[in-house]
Amino acid sequence: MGYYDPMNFAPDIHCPVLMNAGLVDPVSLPTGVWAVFNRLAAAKRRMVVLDGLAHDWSAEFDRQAWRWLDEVLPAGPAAPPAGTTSSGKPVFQVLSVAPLPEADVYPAGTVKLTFRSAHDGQADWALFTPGDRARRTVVYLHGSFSHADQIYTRQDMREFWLTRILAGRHPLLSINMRDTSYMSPPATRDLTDLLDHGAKAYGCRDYVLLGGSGGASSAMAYAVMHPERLAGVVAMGMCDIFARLEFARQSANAGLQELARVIVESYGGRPAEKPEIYRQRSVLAHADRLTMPVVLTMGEDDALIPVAETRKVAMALQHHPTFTYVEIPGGDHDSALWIDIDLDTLEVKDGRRETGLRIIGAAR
Amino acid sequence: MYVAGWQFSSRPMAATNPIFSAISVETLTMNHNLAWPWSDKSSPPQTPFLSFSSPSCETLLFDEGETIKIRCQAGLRSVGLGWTLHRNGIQKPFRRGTAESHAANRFFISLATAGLQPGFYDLRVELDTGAQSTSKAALEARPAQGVCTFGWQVDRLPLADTRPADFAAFWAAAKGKLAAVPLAAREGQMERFDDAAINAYNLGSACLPADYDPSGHRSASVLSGKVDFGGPDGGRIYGWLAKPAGEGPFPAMLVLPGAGFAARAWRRHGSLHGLL
Repeated sequence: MGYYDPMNFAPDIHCPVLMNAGLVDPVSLPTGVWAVFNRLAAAKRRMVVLDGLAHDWSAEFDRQAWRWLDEVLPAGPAAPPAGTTSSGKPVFQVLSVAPLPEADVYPAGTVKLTFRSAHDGQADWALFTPGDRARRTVVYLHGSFSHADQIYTRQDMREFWLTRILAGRHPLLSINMRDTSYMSPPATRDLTDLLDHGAKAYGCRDYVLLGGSGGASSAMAYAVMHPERLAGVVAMGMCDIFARLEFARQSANAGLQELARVIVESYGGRPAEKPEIYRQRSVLAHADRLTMPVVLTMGEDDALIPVAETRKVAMALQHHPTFTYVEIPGGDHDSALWIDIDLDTLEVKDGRRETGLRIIGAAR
Repeated sequence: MYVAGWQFSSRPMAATNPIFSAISVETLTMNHNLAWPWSDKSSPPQTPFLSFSSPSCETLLFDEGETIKIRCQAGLRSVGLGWTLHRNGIQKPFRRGTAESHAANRFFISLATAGLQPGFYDLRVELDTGAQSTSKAALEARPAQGVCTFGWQVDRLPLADTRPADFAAFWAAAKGKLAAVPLAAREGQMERFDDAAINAYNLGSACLPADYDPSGHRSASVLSGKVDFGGPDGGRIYGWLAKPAGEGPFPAMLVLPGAGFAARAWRRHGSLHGLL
């Protein structure tokens, strides 16, 4: 039946939609009507509630529908592109909340949130694992060329971070960020809306961003744009966006070259073409905005991120009272991921002398 | 139960199927299937004797607050009102109580939102009219029972993901198969219909009132006739085509019939609004 259930066609519907529902309709129960309506991917959709009506017809609804058609079907042969109209901006909306059946991968209660972006009406998704809503909510930002399921499906990440998050009973929101976008404008807007949604729907509060590599760059980019929304940032391996792009662009590594291409694509152009998009996300340009506790970790011998550029970020933040920089001598790209950090206090828990960590920062 | 056209009883289904016995399908009947003369009677279970509203939410889709307040106006002389609360479409109630009586045969029901999951709820009420008669005819003439369905945080309605993993591939294959069927369209005799002819048809056959949106007309008359085209397995698909008189192009509307075995209305009046 799943092939024929109207609810399952709804996520593919992007054109404007006008619906009605009789709330006491015993033939088309409102529960079923909203199961379709809530999953529509349409940027413009409207429900006319016929409270008190059953499986009935309404003259006024017909009249409204004619006017609505006049609005969405402009005169002449050309119809507007799907999902666009002369009026009505898209709004953020959760299209579906689906439990994940793979119990061996996803902790109990984990759901997949599919939502429509208020930025451009496109659909993206995130995963949410409930916890103690009184604890800080961890927002996980995946690395380059991965997705929101990374923290659940990558074994070492799962063993280190997912285990700690669950043990701390932290709610976990893992976001997809339009795949690899380095906190592009749509990803930025989506994260803001997801944080609001998490607070409203799940009672989440005090968000801590946690990301490695591309996720770390994305976390810091968001933090300088929206510091007021965050209780802390754990960035594991990153440098400023301008340096990141330039290093990737000049690298002989095919993966880094592809990364450079993807960043330019997601930002809508190169730095010379979209200077403001890049500058908004530059930590070095806005270090003073990082008012929340921040932990930056980095492997000294990271082959994919230039450590000299990471140190510039650390130096720019060294007088920040709640900033901690951890550099792992001889560490590689992944070494930055395995520093044990208290997600409530953002204090580094590892025995520093034993592991030879180099730490910069006041009040630590 | 009622009515104009068709009806069916849920009893055999409820007696044999434990799922259906839990679902309240006893009112599963309708009187508006666009295949009968127009009448002003609303589809059940709506009744003119009990009307519901909320002082705080016109749509009855509530989103916040500790209490949902529903107002029930009785159109009969009444003594009191009892209520039960159900998940939408579910027979078994999970709360019950007595409404607060006000003068003017008006009642207020206050429901705590604590413990309500996002979704729809049926508030079923039974009016105590103080009348002695319990005959079926008397109750059908003046129903003392009613239902008010309201929503609670419906944008968070929990939805299971039932879309098969190969959903897109399934439909791509089906559409590919259909694309191979020659259209072979045939158009029957097209006739011209003016306002008067469409009004007569609506009132007499389509369970629609006479012209109810004259200011929305874009065309003075409509050309309409039967069409048919090729379908799968050698069959033919039949339908009605109506188009505004005059030169196009016109935006097109595909009208799909509802379920049921009765003939469906031929919505010629849509073309008066400029639609093919």
